Amino acid sequence: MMSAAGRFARFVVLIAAALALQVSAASQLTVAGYVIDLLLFVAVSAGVNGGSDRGALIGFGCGLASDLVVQTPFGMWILTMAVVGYAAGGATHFLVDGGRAARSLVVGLIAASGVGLFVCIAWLLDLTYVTEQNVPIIIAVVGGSSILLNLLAERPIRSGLLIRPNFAGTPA
Amino acid sequence: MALVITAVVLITIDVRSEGGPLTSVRNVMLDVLGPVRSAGEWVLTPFGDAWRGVTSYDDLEDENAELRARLAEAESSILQVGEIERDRQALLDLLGARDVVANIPRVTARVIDAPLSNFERTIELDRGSRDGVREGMPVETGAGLIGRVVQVSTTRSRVELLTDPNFAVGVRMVRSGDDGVASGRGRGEDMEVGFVELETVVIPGETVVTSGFQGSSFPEGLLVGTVVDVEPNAVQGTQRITLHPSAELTRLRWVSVVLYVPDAPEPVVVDRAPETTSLPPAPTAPPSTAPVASTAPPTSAAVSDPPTATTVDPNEPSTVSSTVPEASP
Repeated sequence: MMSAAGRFARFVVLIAAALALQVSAASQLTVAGYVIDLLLFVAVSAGVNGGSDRGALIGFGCGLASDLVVQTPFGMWILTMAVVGYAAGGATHFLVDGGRAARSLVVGLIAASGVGLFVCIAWLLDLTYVTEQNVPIIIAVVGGSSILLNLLAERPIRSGLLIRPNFAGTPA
Repeated sequence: MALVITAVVLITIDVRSEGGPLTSVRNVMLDVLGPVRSAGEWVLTPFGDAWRGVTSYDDLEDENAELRARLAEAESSILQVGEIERDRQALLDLLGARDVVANIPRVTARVIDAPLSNFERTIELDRGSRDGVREGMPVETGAGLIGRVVQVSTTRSRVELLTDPNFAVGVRMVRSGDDGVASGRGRGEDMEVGFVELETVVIPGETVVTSGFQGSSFPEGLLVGTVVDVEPNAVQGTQRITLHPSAELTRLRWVSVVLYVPDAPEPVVVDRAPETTSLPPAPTAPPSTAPVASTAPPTSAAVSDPPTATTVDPNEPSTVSSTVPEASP
């Protein structure tokens, strides 16, 4: 059994790896001029695969990493990813019998919702440079890419989160 | 719930404080992740270009056609430009006017063409404070102003584009000499110039440059754009002017940071030689008012209206400005 410190270190490594991939690789590959969001994907996937608490915690960490490198007010991504990570955990109720494809679809939908939530927060803060973006396209790019990412990377994510392979709706 | 409250507190702190500790942390991250981004760019740029070629083929075709049309237009106007430039040089010689913009040191920077998120309002440059870049400095391409530096770390900096809704700069209509304030209206949109009096005659096609008011972080004479529309507002007694930026703001690769420091002990300003003296000699060497790693040739246009400031720095060599003539209406 891994200690709490060990688990925390593992989460940090997972988030740091996602951040490194985001700034080095994901930022180079755009679709319609928009980038895939690896950190948001990790937050949602952690929630769907690991439950609400783990989703919120990983979401907080991913949001922190994201806020450190972008220009939007500090905390916006923390709030967004913590909320969607937690909400994604709630989605596990509907996935007791779902396969990987169903989980990936849910990950995509919640990631897309996360973009919508972020834009709503920006609207509350009157950040026109966010709200005036082509939000539907961004939602489609982030949602679609998250579906594909979960299909490809669910196993490493679950391994990084120390989730038992027998998915049954309740995290280990 | 605790995480949400923490996030809300962080947002509040960041929104209410300017340049606090969070900014310092972000600057450190900019430096730390710089090599990672460079490595990723080096490895993946060919793949990224290939991918963009596939996904943006139609856009590239349209852009190519547009550029060919612009090239043809530019070639046809070269003779006219040369003639106007000679006239302008003669006038400047006659006035003994000296241009500052052309002599301000610049540092050439590469644009890191890889957005970190879908809501970026800035572009990242591979030059930072060790190259002399400071917050607030103007950034331009050969075609004109593109924005200003808003974040600087040791090796990197970020630039807010002039189309950003937060961007505002004092400008001057070259033909009329009247001043106004140009502000951004969002990505892909033209700028808007406010505070221009109703009596001022502004013609579409008129060139607009920075006015360089005292204390402004922009020197006088940087080319901003061209007037495309004028709409009088009789109620407010002003005109609403739509301004098209001269510089192409998409697909930026290389830019120049103008190392202009408005609060320097001897700010660089347009000056005029004393009327009793003979005409100044031709420019010899640019002044060095800030540390420069590598300087780019001056590219911006300068204001060609008669200079009014009279501050003379005895150490400054006499120079001649280089103005881009106004486009035909």
